Parts: sequence; C-alpha cells; structure tokens
Amino acid sequence: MSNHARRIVVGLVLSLVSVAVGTADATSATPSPTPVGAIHTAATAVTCNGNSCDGEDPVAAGCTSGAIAYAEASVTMGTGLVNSVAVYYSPACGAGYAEFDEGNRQNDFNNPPIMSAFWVPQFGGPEQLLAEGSQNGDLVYSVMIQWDTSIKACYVNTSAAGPLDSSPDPDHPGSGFCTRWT
Amino acid sequence: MMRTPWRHLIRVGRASVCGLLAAAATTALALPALAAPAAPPSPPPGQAAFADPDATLGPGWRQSSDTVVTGVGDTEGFHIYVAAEKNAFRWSALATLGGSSDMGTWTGYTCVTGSGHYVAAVYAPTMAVNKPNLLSAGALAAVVDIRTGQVRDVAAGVALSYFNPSCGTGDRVLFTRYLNPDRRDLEQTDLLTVDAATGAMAATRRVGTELTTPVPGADGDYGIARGALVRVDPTGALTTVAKPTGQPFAVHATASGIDVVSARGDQAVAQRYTSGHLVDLGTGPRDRLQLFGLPGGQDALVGDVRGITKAAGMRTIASDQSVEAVSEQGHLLVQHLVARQTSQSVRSGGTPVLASDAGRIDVTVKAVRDNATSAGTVTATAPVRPHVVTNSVVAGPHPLDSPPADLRSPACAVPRNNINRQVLQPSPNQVEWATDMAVQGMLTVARPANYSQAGEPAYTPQGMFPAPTNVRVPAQVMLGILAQESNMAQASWHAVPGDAGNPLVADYYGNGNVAIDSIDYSAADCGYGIAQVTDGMRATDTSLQPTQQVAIATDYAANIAAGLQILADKWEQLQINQTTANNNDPSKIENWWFAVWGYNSGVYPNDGSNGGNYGVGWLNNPANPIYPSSRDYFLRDPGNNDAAHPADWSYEEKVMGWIENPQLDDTTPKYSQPIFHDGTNHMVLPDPKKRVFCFPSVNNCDPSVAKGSDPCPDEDSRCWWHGNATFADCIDGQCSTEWLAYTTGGTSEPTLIRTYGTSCGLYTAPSGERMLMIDDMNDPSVNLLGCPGQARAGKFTLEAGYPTGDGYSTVDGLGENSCFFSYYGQVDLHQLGAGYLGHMWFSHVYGSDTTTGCEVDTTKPTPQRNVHQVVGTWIPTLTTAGRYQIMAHLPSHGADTPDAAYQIITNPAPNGNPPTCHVNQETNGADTWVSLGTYQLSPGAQVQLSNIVGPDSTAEADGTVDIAWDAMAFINVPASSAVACGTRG
Repeated sequence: MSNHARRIVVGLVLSLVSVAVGTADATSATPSPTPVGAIHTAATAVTCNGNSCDGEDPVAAGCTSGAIAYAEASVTMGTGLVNSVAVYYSPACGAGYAEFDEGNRQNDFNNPPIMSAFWVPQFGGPEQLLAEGSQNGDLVYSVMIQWDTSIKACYVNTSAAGPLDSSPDPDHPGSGFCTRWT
Repeated sequence: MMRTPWRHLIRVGRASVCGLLAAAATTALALPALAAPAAPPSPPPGQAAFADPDATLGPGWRQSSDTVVTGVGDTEGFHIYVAAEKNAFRWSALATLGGSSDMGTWTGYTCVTGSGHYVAAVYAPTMAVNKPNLLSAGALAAVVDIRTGQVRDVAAGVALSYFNPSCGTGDRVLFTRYLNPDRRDLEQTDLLTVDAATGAMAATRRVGTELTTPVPGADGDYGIARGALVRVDPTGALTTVAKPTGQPFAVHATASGIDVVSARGDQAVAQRYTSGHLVDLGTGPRDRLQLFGLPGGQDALVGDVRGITKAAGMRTIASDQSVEAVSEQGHLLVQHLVARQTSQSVRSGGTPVLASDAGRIDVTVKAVRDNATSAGTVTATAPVRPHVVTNSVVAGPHPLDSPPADLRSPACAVPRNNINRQVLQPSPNQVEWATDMAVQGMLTVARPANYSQAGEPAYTPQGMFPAPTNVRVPAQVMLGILAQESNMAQASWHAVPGDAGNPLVADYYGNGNVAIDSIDYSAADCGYGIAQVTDGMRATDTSLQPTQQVAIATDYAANIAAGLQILADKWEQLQINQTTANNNDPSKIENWWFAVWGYNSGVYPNDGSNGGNYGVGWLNNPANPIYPSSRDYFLRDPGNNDAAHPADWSYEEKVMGWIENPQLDDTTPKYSQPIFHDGTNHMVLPDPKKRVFCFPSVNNCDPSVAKGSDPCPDEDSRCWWHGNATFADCIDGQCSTEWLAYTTGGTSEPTLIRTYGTSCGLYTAPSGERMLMIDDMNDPSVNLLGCPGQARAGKFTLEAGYPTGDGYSTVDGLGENSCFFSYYGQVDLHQLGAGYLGHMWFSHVYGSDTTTGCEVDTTKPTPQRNVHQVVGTWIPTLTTAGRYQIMAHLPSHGADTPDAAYQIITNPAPNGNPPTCHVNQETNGADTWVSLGTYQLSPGAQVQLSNIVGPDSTAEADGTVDIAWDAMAFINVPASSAVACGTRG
C-alpha cells in the first residue's frame, strides 16, 4: 500500500522505460514453496536482547546464529533462479529481522528488485519501515526489531508495470509480494 | 407530559397486503367446491400484536393500510420499528442505525415524510446530551425507505433536538444544526434540506439566529425564531408571518396551513396559520395536547381535545394519557415504547445495561376503536447499518478519503488499548462510598505504587486532588452528576462492574462517537471517566501532571475527587458573579442549580467581555425553546419514558431528576436519595412550565409566557443568566439536604461487587504434555483481576486495518495512497479484563465489501467495511517441527460470534489455503477451552483470527457481534494424537 521505495528507486523506474520493456525476467509473481526451517549457523558473540536490538545489525550483533526463518516468500525467475525474502527470528537475541536472497542477481543489473521490511507495534498501528534497498545497494539483512512486534518482508518487482509499491498488498498484483506478518 | 408530538408519524401500508390475499385465494381453491372459504391465517402472536384483532381492531383490519413507524435506541444502535394493522400491529424491525460505541446507548428522533414512504432519523450516542457541542451539532442523520429498509446517510453534525428531523407534506425533510449556541453575534442555525426520495442534500441555508421547530410546508419552509412564526426563504432570510400565542412546542405543516401548538400557562393553545393569518383552533391542558404529523398533508391532535374545533386535515383523537406515537389513520395509539436497556438504566442503574438485551423493546399500545390495550416485548432487530461518512454534506469528522494530516497523535492524554492503562469498572456501592468520602474530605484510600498496573507512584485520591475548601458539596449533587455524565461508569461501557476495560473517554476520536469510520482528533472531547473530567485531559495540557491524568482516567475515586473540585470551582465562580439560587445555602441541594448548570456548559466571568454578559449560558436555560415547553419534570412520572429522549431537558433538570429518582436495582437504590422536605418525595425545583430564569433587566428574557412565544428572542449571550433566582423557600425548610450512606472509612474501600467471576486458574495440558502457552499479552500478570502470570512460549500480536498495518505513507503521487486504515481499525478494538488470566481483546464482526475511492488509483478496490479489520496472531516459539494440539480459550463474555475462523498456518511458506477451524465463541457465560485440532507444525507456524467474515450480507457481519482474542495453548502430543476442531474441554 505504501511507497517509501519511490525516492530510492525512482531512477530505476525511469530506466525501465528504455531498457526493461520486454526484458523483464520474472515469470511468476506467485510466491512458490521453499524449504522451510532454514537456520543460520554462523556463531558470533551476542551483544543485544529484545528492544536493545532495535536498529542493530543482526550480523554484527551476533544474532544470526541459530536464527530461524519464521516466514518466507519467493519467486522463481525466468532464469530458474529464486529470489526470496524472509523474516528471521533470533532466539539468542529475542529479535527479528528480514533477509533478502536475490538468487537472480547476476542477471539483474538494470532493474534489480528491492526488499522492503516493515514492523508494526505489538497491538497494532501503522507499519513502519525497517529497511529497504536492493542487493546492488548491498542490502541483505534488515536491521533488527524486538520480536514482540509484527514483522514482514516484501519483495518489490521494479520491472512491473504501474507504480511501485514498497508494501505490495494482495489487491494490487504485479508490484510484488510480502511474507505474512510474523 | 407532552413530547415530540409530530415526529412520530405514520405511513400508508402497501404491497404486502397483496401477499396475504393471494395466499388466502390459493388456499380457497384447494378446498372442496362446497366448503366455506377458510379464514385468512392470523399473524403469529407476540411482538406486541393484538391477540384478538377481529374484536379489537374491527372486521376490516386485514385490509387496513394503517401503520406506525418510530425509533428506539439502545447499545446496539438506534432501531427503526414498524407495525402494520394488517398484521394486527405486530412490531418488526425496519433498520438499525449506528453500531457499537464505547459510550453505551443511543438516542434519537424520527419523522415520516408526507408520502409515507420514508422515515427520517436523527440519532446519536446518548452521551451527546452532556456535550454542548454534540447536542448542538453532533448527531447523525439518515433516511430509511420504509418499503425496503434501505438506509441512506444524509448528514453528520446535526442537532439532537426534539424537533429534528422535521417532515412535512412532501418528501422534503429539514435537519437543523446550531453553531455557537451561547455566543452573542455568533448565534446561527444551519437548515439542511434533504430529498428523502434520493437522499440528496438539496440545500443548506444559514440562518442568523436560533431557529427552532422548522417545518417544510407546501408553499415554503417555516419555523419559530425570535418568538414568531417565520418563513425561511431560499437564502436563509427570515420573514415574520405571525405571532403565536404562547411558546410553541409543536409545529407541523399540513396541506391546509401550518399548525402550531403553544404553551401558555397551563394551557396548550392550538392555532393554524393559513391565508396570512393565525386562526385559533382551541385549547387543552398543556401536558395533554399533542400534535402528530400524518402523511398526506394531515396531522392529528391527541389528548384532551374537547376544546378543539375541527379543522380541515386535522384529526382529533381523545386520549387520557400522553402517547409516543399515533398510527396514520388514528387506529392505534402507542402509549409506551422503551428499550429494555433504557428501562434498565432507570430501574437498575449501575453499568452497564446488558448487551444481550439489545433490540428488546417494551411496547404498550391502545386500539382507539375499543380502547383495548396490548402490551408486549418486541425482540426483532435489523442488521446494524453503521453511518458511512460520505460526500459534501459531511460536517465535522473527516471522511476516509481526506484523512487529517496527523493521526499519529491522539488529542486525549491517556490512550485507549494500552495494557498499562486498564480501568476497573467500580460497582455502585464503591461509587457512593467514594462520593460520600470525597465530599467530607476523607477520600484518602491508599493507592500504592503501580496501582492499576499503571506504573505510577503511590497516591491518595484527595491527596492528589484535595477536597474543596470553599464549599461543602452535598453528596447527592455529585451523585446526580455522576449518574447523568457516565451512568456511573469509569471504564468503557463494555466493562461490567468487576471487569477492567479501556478508559471511558468521550469522543476520543473526535467523531462524536457516531461515525466509527472517521477520526478528527482536533474535535476530540477528552472527557474522562465517571465525572467526565475534561479540564487538563488533553495531551497538550500542562495544568495536570501526567500522573494526575492517569489517575483521572484509571481510578474512579481520583476521578470523583477531581470532579468534585470542578463542581466546587463552579460554585465559587458563581459566587463571584453573585449568581445564586434561593438562599444560597450550600447545604441545600436545590441551591446547587446554577453550579450544576455550569458544570456542563461553563460559567462566564463578569469581566466586561462578551458584551458585558456573564453568568450561565443560554443553552441550558430551561426557557430555551430547544426544549419542548410542554415537558414535565425529568423522571418524575415513572410512566413516562423520559430517559429514552433526554435531549428534551436541560442538563441541570436531568441531574436533579437523577437525584430525586436514583437508579435502582430492582427496588433497591444504587445510591441514596437526599432528605426531602417533610412529607414529600421530591425536591422543590423550577417548574419547567415557567420561565424562572428570565428577567428583562438581567437577560432580556420575558418571564411572562402569556405575553411572548419566545422568552429571549435574541437567543444569544444576551440571554445569559446571572443574579439570584428563588424557586424554593429554603429558609422555611422546603429544601433538601444530603444523606450520607458512608460517614467513615475513607481509607477502606468497599468490596467490589462483580457481575462475573474471575478466571485465574492456570491451564495445564490434560496429560501433562509439554505445552506452549501464549496469552494475549506478554506478561499476563498485568491484569486488574489479581490473576497470576504465566510464562509465555511465543508471542501474540494484533494488526489492524486493511491491508493490516496500512498507514505508512501519505499520498505519494504514484497512484497509490495510504488510507490510514491501521488507525481506523483501532476504533472498534477494545481490551477487556476478562477471559484467561483477566485480559482479552475484542472487536466486532464485519463484512468485507469493497468500493473505490480511497486510492488515487480509483480502479483499485478500497475496503469499505473491512477498514475495521483486526487480525490477531499467535506464534509459538518453535525451533523444531512437531505435532501439536492447539487449544483456544473462549471468555465467559465478550465473545459471541458463531463462526470464528481460526486459520492454522503450519509452516513459514504455506502453499494454498491453510486449514481453518470454525468455532462458535459463545460459551453461555463460562470460560471455556476449545480445540482447534491437531497439526504438524514447523518453526514459524502461527494461528490467525480475523474479524472479517465475508461479504457485508453475511449474517452477523453488521458490527454488533463480539469476537474475542484470548489465550492459545500449543500442546506437544504424540504423532498418533488427533483431537477434532471444535472439541470443548
């Protein structure tokens, strides 16, 4: 529903007009099943817990060790490669974060997709941006937010026709998809 | 008494007669040729229908088109009911307007248009009568097609007044709105004209004075202004056409002229304006002559009509008592019509009335033909039609498509739905104790640190809000105010005594508590709690410390202490103004008349401002023609339904009524009456029939009813009252004094009398299996019922709006728009101190229809009803997959949807629709665990429950059926285990 992505990716939108027509490589906007329960195993000293993790880098804070994907959504590209977004729960840190896996990255220089991640206070309220960007901009992980919030990660297809929406909803197909609120 | 006589109109019955006749004919054809035709089937009994209509209504009743239509309010909304003679006057529901409100019951007025096809309604939460701005311009207006039940919203922000709406000879309906009802040079009336056939706003005229009792006549619109019958031209300019005799309280336009009934002393004078002149039609007793408009350009005078001359188009119907409504052809008088919840509020008091009694009305009718009566209970309801704010007729709250710039900052200091701002609903014995202690300066009960789990330091109510030193307030004055202001509730009406709930906040969202699809914080009232304290309770106010604001919102005793200060301050301001009642002895309850008046609408200082006018305002002057001059004392006649239409009385009249007639529990008063003067059971109060607060040299007000039809034609600040008024001889012992039920014990709070028991037992897995418990908040011990905590093994979250969380950005110019639905979704979300370990959340069930309009991209569907979506999610902390039996807790009350659809998402990336367990949340008053089934769950599994059930046409989807989110247990069971969805226990 919202478009925080506009400022960041406006250049990409313009480039699509001359380059991307007919070359969009996404073959399906429907999330497809992926293996469940992916667990990060890299071990680093934990430096935060709960709300002290808010805004922290999950890797630097040592929170990715043992983290579990609690929600995932993905799309298989025309190359056969899979782009996915996921929300991870870090038991060690009591916090969550989003992760972007752009398997198609090497084929996607002109109109790279972006991930936007949001959170909502525990008992409701407006979604607020956690992180947003493309892997060309080196976004792999979002910063963290305490686990008691609701968190979702969205995949924004910048080559889609029509306006970009960094928080695509099911009523507006074409601009991307999100995980469940988790 | 007489009230709102011409608004309860009638209509011509229509097509359904054909259905009955056709059925009869079919039956006859099926019989042997020589058999006598079978009698038509009688309507089913009940719903207040006449049991023997052949005898009571006469042989032609089956073919009659006589019908009556009228409205009644309760907590579910404002119901429009219809009863047709061809159905033996069996009552049924036509429509329900409004919906759930934090503030309790609804009230309103209706009229039927001249064609008989439409009923117009003005309705609002009853609390609006305590808020001058809402009373003047805070009600909603709708038109309902009587033939189909179709509802059209036509306006917001209209006056709640006995003459609003007004119908006439055609389908034009007039609605009234008052602007600045107390201010000199600013007094204005908006007159809104609606075509009932289309629902379109035909015109809005601004009249430069107070216009009352407007009527749409065949040759133009009329009304009463500055004491005269005036004609209102298309620009809003007024032309005086006649001077009625006395003060008009009923006006109706007929095809033959404008009929006016006025109060003159103890008489009611009926006159007709026709051919440029007023013609006398006769007189009757002031409280026994009522004027009702009828379709077809006619009307009816009902009551003691012996002195009335026959006139064209006017029926006269004799009645030995005042009535609520009359049927179109005069075959039926509605003597008594009151919502069960309203009669409970008078009879049983306390808070709240039972939600389960919504839609039940008690009816007594009389057949004019033979004076036979029929009494019964009507239980029919119609689907609630919440007001939808639309188009340019809206005034006040912002519509959805133009949200205010900043919804992130509520205007009121203490928020809703904050688990650290729960409020325990007191029982009436506690309220009287706190009041008695407060007036004696003894309310020093210790409130320890973190009282009400609010995280605030320790205090005592009158340590924080010291007892007044300037005056000793009689306890019953404060108790009467508490009854009128809040029905003695500190928490939202959703909480019964012993429950916790959100704070009771008047108009938290600035939508008048009427349009749950709108938010305008700039218009928020921020009246908190039992005494509806507003001073210092806005977020930007600095006159109170945050700890004081929290105490006012969460603690009834602190709220009473603060309210007492405000009342004493009004007394003081009036002393400075030398505005006094009787002998000014504060121990006499009658002498608090002006202070009570000021508690509601303020006291204007004598400082040279406002043109030198000062004292108490015009809005609450009993002589103001916005109150029917035919009324009697509020609540004094138990046969009347005064509490159903409290807007007929000024604020202080209502408070004094509640002092005389305390709310009862069966026969036991919930608070004490005062000590009346010898041999009476009432106080000596200003006679509503007399203009006690009128004196030419004081407020330009003519005290002589016989001389003028409007006592203060200016209707503005020149009508403000100051000085002494004597209406009771307190020196000679006519006046009443307080009675204290509690004289000691200010540090010892009485026991809370709970409506429901508490459910504090910890749930364990039936066979001792490993269990992951997720309650509806992180620390279940944060409850006000004294329940223990329990370790959690997951998280519970709520998301609101559609899509959930919507509200991140504003219009972005790229075809997408945030509609702020996450904010609107909070409006009908509530926390309640009930359910497992003393806390739960609930909302109401809605449909999912969409429309276009919110989005800049107008091709994109925009949620219509599901703007109120609330989704609760339980996520167990799982690190490995396993088999789990899922058990959901259903609270003993606050949950009654028959179809709560729990979705079980078993893994992080589900493919296809997840399994769903449909549960009836009704538990017949017992806390209950129910199985959602047994599933193989992976890390990331979750259970979700939404309050959106399907299309708007779905049964139960009208916003009145409760749906709850409470605790969830995930029991790790063996692979072979299987417990079916819906299994209880």
